[in-house]
Amino acid sequence: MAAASDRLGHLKDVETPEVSVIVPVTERPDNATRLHRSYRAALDELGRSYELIYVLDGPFPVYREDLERLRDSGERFKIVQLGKHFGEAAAIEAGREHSQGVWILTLPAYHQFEPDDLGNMFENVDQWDMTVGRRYPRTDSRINQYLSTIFHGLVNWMTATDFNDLSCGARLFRRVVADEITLYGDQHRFLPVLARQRGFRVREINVQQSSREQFRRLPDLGIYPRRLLDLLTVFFLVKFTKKPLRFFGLIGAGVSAVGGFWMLVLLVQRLALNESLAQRPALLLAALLIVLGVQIFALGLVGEIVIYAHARQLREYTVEEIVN
Amino acid sequence: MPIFDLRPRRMRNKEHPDITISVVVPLFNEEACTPLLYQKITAALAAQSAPYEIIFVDDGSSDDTFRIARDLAVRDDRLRVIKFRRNFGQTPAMAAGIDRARGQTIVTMDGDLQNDPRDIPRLIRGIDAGHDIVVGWRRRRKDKLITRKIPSRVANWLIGKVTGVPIRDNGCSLKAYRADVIKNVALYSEMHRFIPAMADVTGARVKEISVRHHARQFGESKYGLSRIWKVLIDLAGIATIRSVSRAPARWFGVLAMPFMLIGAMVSTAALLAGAVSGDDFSMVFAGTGLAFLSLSVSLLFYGMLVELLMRTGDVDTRNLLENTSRVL
Repeated sequence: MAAASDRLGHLKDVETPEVSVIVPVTERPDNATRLHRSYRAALDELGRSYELIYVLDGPFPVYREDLERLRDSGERFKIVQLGKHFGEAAAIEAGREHSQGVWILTLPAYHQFEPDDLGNMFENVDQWDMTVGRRYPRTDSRINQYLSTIFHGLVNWMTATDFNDLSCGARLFRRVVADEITLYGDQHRFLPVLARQRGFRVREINVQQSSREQFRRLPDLGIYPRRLLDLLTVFFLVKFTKKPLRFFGLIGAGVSAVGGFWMLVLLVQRLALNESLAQRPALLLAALLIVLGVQIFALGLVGEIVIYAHARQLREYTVEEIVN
Repeated sequence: MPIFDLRPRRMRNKEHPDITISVVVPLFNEEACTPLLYQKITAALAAQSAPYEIIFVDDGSSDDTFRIARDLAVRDDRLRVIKFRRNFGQTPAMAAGIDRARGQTIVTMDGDLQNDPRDIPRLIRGIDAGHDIVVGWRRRRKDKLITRKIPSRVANWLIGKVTGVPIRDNGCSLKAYRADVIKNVALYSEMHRFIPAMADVTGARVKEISVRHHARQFGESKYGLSRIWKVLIDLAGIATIRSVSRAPARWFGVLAMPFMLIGAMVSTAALLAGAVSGDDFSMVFAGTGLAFLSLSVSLLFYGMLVELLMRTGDVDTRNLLENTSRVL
């Protein structure tokens, strides 16, 4: 790190910081004072000029008081207060709007990893567009680890990537990455996936998991269904954004084909074999399958029209460089 | 930079008022072809009195294509090179070139030297003669019969039938466009094959002329039989989009019609049978009929939604009309 600090030493006094550190404060943050001190120490170690921004995603009166007290005692950082709870991705976005650095580093508002390992993330950072932390080795509960393995297996299978820890809050990326990808809700965790899909170079760097994490993180089972839905969204965004008909069309056609075939079988049974239909729900089920299939197909068509009608605003390519 | 420059042409070319022709070439792993391609294009356009620009779009090549093209561009400012972050496909590459083209006539061609740049002046003459799109037709195609020519024949016939624009060779990338027309055609996914069909909606005058075609000298063909499935789905998509976008509510109305008829018939029959026989009312038949009826109603509402989408979208028919209509 010494070389980096020499090289960038001249930047230290310039107004624009090199790195903008954004801490989105959402659900169950850890004690502000302690967290701030540990981040502060690690960031000073980096030898790069930085600015620190806390984004309060909704009302966190205690947290805000703590931060303001810290600021009064001479610590320098910005506090951005959002009007209501918008989600972590929106909080990061709000922080970005108030930041100036070429690099953006997001950090979790709780003790998730040892901040001393931030230095590892900055090694050879210029060769990459995005560096995400990976907590390794894991020290939290077995169940958490298994669920995480299953989740990442699904993500990697569905999006053809190879990430191991999308939930790690430490993400370092160039401003252009955020400029090109808009996220909302809890989709921030898929930023590495979407960034890679847009052609950015993304890598994972191991960081030591914080020993405090296992005590505070109670397994919240409601999180997994929500994650699965997010995963479906991202899968759709990655694979079929410009071709909704390929996605909806295939599913819709399949479902109606099953329904249609079943209905044919039933009609043959009724007319040729003289089996009664009126007292069985089979006909109704077949009809509902057809209805469902046609609906899905029609939704795909609507999607296709959305793309067609807005094709001029959509750009599916990203330009890295133009000569002349 | 706006994707579509909707300013009038005289304003748009203010920075480079003299460029009248833009040649757009997507390149993907064509390091062996690139220098020769550059030479051939400049040689073919040397006789052209009008100033021109060449736009190479490097579609995320993994070989040295970009470095070679950049070295050429450093020595010749008529050549621009656009580098993609990764491989996005031929249509986005063409779209990127077309978006940034400054000429009033835009020529697109493949980067593999199977198209002959010597045909470019003939295409441009077609545009000058008043056509909006001039399409190349590889009359004597130098490709494999089974995997390339026969599927292509079938695909072209189908595309012609479905879209109503009978072009013998949609797959030929060598085409020339009036910039005002092509910049107003939605270009995404793998649409480049269907540009004439898409432009036909706007009333563009399309002409087809036969062009030379050479066997591949360098590298591998990037196409195989696997794309047929995609072409078919895209074709279905385009045919539907074309007809839906003309009158969305009516289109969905027609789609809803058979379901409404079946639904009405089945549920009426079930009700009548129930009324006649008293207690022997069939829930199953009535339910089936009602399911179809509800489907038809929701399809009608989809139609209205699409109507709304078309009105709020940026496909402005007036703009297209203006570009393709002429006072005689």
